[in-house]
Amino acid sequence: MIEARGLTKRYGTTTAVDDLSFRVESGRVTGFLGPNGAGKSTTMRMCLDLDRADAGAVRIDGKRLTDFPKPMRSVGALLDAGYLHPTRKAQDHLWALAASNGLPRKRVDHVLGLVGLSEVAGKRVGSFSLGMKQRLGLAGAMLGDPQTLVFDEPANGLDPEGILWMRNFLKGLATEGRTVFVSSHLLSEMALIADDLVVIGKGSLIFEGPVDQFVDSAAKKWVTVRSPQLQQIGDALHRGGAQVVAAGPGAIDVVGPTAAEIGELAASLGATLHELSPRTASLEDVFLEVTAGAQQYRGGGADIAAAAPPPPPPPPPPSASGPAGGGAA
Amino acid sequence: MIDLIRSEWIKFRSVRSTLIMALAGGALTVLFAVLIANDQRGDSFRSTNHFGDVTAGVTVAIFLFGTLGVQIIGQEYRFNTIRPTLTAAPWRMRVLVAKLVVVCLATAVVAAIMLAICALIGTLMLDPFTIDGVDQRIIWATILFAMGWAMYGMALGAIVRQPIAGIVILLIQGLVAEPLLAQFVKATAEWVPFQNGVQMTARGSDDLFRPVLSGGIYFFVFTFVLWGIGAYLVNKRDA
Repeated sequence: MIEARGLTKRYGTTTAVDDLSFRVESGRVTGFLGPNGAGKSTTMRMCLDLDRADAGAVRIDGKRLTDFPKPMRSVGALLDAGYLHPTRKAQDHLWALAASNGLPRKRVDHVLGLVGLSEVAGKRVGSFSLGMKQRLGLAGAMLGDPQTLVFDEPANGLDPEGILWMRNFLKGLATEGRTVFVSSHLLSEMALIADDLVVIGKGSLIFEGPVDQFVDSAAKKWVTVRSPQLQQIGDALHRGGAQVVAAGPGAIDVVGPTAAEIGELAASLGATLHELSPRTASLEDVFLEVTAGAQQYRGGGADIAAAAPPPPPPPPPPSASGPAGGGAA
Repeated sequence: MIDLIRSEWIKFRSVRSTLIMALAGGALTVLFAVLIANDQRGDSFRSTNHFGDVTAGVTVAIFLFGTLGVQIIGQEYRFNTIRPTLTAAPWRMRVLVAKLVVVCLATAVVAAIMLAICALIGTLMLDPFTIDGVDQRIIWATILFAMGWAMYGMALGAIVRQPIAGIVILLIQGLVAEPLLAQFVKATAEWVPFQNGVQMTARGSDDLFRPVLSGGIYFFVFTFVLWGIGAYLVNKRDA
């Protein structure tokens, strides 16, 4: 378990991380999200004592990193795939790390096999692709077979097959009871990997908890309905107090009743349904929504919301309510 | 600590530039020794040839050993390998001491080998060739000074955290700034570290600088203080 309490980091007058506290539980993959410049990488470096915190502390399984006699046996980290000397061979890079913790040479061969780099073990890393460097970084993190793993953007540079491998790899580590703390910009990927989330913006905590809770806390849910008798269904739903919005030709989005309730209503009306789909905003939608006020760097001109996926349907004004195709909004 | 020293040794020997630099230092000294011995062989006025006469290339080699010191820490920052290093071994002072041990031992070994080859060249090419008490002092002083200058380089590397900048400072200081300062502002001569330290490795001392013993002591005090500043900064700053 990783526990951060009151972490604060300042660069001159800028506060990069501001009194940040969170917990990363064992046996779960915890995603670390935040807009660019939110302080994710700084926080991760403070977790590993690479950046000196101005206030606060991090404990890993109740200890500081320096308290572990052989830190690699307890904590493994991959912060950036580029942290390599280009003229050093892959096996020497790992062997130097392993030697610092008294790990046997066979661990180097083992982790190289684990990440699929055995064949290039004797090659200088300057010739490696980003994906290969990423795998080498992962091998370094796994050298000591640690209980706690910290990864900053581990999917960077990986091809689709590599991303799938990484996803299974991280989930497998958590299944073994390890603590996995991982940051990523790939929100769709994070939605598939993470059990819990720590979301920060401008260095402060925005959310901490399970992914489902994060999505539920902010997302609106709606049901998409397609039917040849759309107007009849829409009218009935509107009379029942539901919010009904046109969702393209022959479809409406309904906010309020559940899919089951709409299905029963349609049956009672003798209407045929071609689609009845419950929908929820994605992790990406929710992330953009909750961090909208914490975006430090934005593209010029365009509002961030303009780039976001379409939000769930807003409640229609009473005068415009009604089924799609019948002048409904 | 042994594990950390082993780790640093693997890093040291697994990078081309450090190996090239160490070998180049040794090779240059030997080359100078051959050229000097060849020159002295034709000098019929010389009654004897001392070991200390053929080790003039040592100064050049020692500069290269200084760059090794810069590189052993500067390259870690240049390529950001300091981060995996300090994640694996978060005790910064211990890591620095391990680096110091490795770079000093490596330079000591290369220096000892190059001096042995110099002695062999003198024996083979010069007659008569002697190694007297002063020469014996030069042997030990050269090895010590090589280690000290590597430590000096490491201190600079830890302060500037950039190998190129560290090497440039090292070369300009030793080859340009100190000699010029000592020549034109004579009062500064006994306070320039490299020139005072190098007196240990010469047969005859230069009156401009401190005598052999005090020059050596001053150089090492200066070097230890500088290394302490570098270590403090490495410990205090973000990696």
